[in-house]
Amino acid sequence: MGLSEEQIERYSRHIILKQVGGKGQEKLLAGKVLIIGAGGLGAPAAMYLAAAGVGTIGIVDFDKVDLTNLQRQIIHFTKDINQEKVLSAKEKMEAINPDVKVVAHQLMLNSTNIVDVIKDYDFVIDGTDNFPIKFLINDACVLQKKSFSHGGILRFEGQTFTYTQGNACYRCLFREPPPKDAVPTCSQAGILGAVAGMLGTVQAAEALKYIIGIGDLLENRLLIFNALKMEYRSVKIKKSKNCPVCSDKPTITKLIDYEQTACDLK
Amino acid sequence: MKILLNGKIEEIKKGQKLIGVLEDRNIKPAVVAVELNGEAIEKKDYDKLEIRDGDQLEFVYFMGGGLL
Repeated sequence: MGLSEEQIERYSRHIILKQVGGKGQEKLLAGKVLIIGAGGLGAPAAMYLAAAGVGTIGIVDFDKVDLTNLQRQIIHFTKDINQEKVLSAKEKMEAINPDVKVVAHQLMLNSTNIVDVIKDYDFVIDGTDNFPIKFLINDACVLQKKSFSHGGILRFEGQTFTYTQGNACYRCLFREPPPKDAVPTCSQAGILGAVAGMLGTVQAAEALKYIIGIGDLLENRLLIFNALKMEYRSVKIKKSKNCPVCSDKPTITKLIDYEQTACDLK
Repeated sequence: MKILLNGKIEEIKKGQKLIGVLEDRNIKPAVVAVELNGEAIEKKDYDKLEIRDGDQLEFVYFMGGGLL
């Protein structure tokens, strides 16, 4: 493919990294990453992936920009209130880097459409905030042998890991969604804006490493941090031989639409 | 009796079951996944498993967040 002179300059700080180089940058430009949710996690991830020159970035969201989003969802500006999130995000990403093709998927994922949405991408970033969709993303990615980054945040804390085929999945640790209303969402419990950025950028870095094929991904370990104490821990997670979806004898072989609470859909 | 809970040394009563360790800390079983010495534990075993001296326990909270 080859890089243009302008691209060599634009990506020079990547290219001088010996683990990236021109070859790695070309892989990024040929890479396809899907970001599910243009919110607290998806916003910083989308901006870094666009800046990095990931050639095709899909972004999924059904919602519109709300005033309460702007405290942390840094891809959306005050002028974008009431605009579709995917369109607001696409505009910023293309302004950051015209090399990037942004595909806006304005829809709510469910068991019937998710496979079609994820199938053309190399890597998926889960930036969603409710458990029915988190389990749907996990199961769809496991069944489709698609790598993804899980991300969760609440108050001052965050957690993330990366699934690749043959390694531990979300269900190896969390078997099934928690009962309705057992776990608050950020809109109910709050979130320090910068915490979303800390986690979304970890997810973006994992996507970049995956596309280039370098380093150690967050496979079989969950990175947990608490920004109030400013402590990071990495907890080993083990692929479970009893996992309902990724084990040799799965009990889940088709996708499930778990019931969502009314507040999830707001 | 000492255990390692989320990376920190904590004292628990001898002979305590996993469910008791959760209850003493006011943690609802529904909101966490539990790992004992690196193995994920099924919820149905919480009231059967006895915690031993030196065990490593991880309580990993469900975390959503991100979208809204």
